[in-house]
Amino acid sequence: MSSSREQSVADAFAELSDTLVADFDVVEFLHTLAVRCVDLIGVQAVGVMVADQRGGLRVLACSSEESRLLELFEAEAEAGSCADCYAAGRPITVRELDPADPVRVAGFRAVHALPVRLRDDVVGVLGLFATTPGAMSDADARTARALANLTGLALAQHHAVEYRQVLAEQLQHSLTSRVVVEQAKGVLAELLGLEMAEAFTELRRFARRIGRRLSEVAADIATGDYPPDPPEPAAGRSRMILICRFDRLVLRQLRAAIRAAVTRHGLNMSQTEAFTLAVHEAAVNAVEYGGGTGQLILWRYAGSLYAEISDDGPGLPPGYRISEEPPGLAPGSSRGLWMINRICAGVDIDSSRAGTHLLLRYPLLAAVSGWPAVAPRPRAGGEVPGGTTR
Amino acid sequence: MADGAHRDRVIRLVATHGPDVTRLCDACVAELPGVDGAGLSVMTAQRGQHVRHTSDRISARIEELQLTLGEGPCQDAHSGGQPVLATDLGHLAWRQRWPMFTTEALKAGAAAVFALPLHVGVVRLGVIDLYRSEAGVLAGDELSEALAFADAAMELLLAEQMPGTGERLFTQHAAVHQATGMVSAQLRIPMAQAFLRLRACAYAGEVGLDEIARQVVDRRLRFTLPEVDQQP
Repeated sequence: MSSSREQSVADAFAELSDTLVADFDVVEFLHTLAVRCVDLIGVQAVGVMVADQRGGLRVLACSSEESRLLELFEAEAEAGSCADCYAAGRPITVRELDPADPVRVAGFRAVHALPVRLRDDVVGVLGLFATTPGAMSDADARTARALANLTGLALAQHHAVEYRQVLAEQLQHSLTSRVVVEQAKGVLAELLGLEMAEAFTELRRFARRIGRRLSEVAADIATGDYPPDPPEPAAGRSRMILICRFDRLVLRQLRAAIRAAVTRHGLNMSQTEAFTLAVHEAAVNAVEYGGGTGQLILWRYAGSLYAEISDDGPGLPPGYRISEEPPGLAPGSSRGLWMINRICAGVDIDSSRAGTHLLLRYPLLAAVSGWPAVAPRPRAGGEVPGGTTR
Repeated sequence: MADGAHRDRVIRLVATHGPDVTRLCDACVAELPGVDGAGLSVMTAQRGQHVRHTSDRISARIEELQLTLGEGPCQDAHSGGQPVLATDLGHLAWRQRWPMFTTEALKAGAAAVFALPLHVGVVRLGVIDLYRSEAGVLAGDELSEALAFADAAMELLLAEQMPGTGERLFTQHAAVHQATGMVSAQLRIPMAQAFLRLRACAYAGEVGLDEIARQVVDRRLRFTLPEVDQQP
């Protein structure tokens, strides 16, 4: 094993075990593990499957969320090398797939299936697809085995006396989380016009951006904002109010949709106008300076309304800072941002050449008078994540 | 395959005991030696959470306690979306988790409660509570059989909510859940309703749920609102 390879294996294990220590999300963790697995081993696709306690295997994570690959792993989990590996409880390698095998048709040549063990039980399978035929090298096989063991640890965090009962609960929980993630992917794919793999990437980006767990954000997106559920979400949860893409032609409708949505969430008339203005202004900026189209996500969480307005680039100039002083009357993005900054309690910019994500927070209980309503400002100016300043 | 065996078992349970979900619950008690009684509480948009069936006095008490106290395995299974397998209500861990419920449930004669959520992602149909009068685990095969009963109960509850759609559509493929999410967004309806619409569409078209789901995910099939689109 070359030293650079040793280093990357060590780095990956350090990253993964750091995640395991914290309060982690099993679906996201196993996705990361599957991606690292592809990076480290000479294989091109990885699927993580777990026992569903009904005698079968279900796919919990994939190195790519592309629908076609997910379906290949689903088929493998039902009847294929991975299903055989689970039934036999030992590794199974198919060095050269049959030309008619759907996995071969999809462009792969070999399958390596490793059992995921926990004490005496086989709780899942790590499935590896390679585009080159033949067995894995010894080094790759060792790394794969270590990753399979790590998968087992991730699936059972507690080691209680009634270990199998707790394991059963946790495996079922992870399977439910996976279903919720699929439902949320469907919602995002439809509302944002994305492919399933892109929908997963967006879900993951958004969850990280707001610092919440993937499965919880997925559950909030999949649940949506429907009566008779109260607009106020349960503690620790958020209510997703509006998710859409927009362009110049629909800006007017967008404004009406924002107003209608936030009215339901208890803002008074001047607050509604102010917040609608801020979000709309950000959307106008996205259209004017961010490539003509944009994306809005509007939600309620922990006593505040939040809006994230995103565009597709080219990003704000490096070191950009929102002026605290009123700008001149000339039209331009700085005026829009200045006003948004005045209205909202929190403005957070994450900008790169790939696009700008503007995150706005507006407290629901702010005592406001006059117009434009100015919410309390916890802090003035300062550094924000994403390399730029507001 | 083993997975196919589970599917066959669910289909058999549905065919033998359906369409009445309460008969299925009674069959569950009769067929599982480690289970002394069953209670079913269901969620509906109209009535919220309510008790649909209890097999005896003790299971009636278990359901009643959880609704009045707001704590217990059923409540946790419902909010957490995972089975809650309380093998010994007298054990400190469970007593600390539900101080009021454990005391009263033990008094009523239940020593272990196994709560199985009837959930498909965020589609929450209800929870089955199985109890036994002696502490102990739901051993390997019994757990998978209990899960088969839970899956069958879910099929029956779905069939009830959209009558005439049959119950032969059992499937758990990712595309089905993705399509449900897309239909929910297309029609702006909650996930539970979208799931029912998708099943009804498959039934009406006499095609499998998987096939309908694939058409939706591939954007060959779209569910549309009758009125003009107002939102961007």
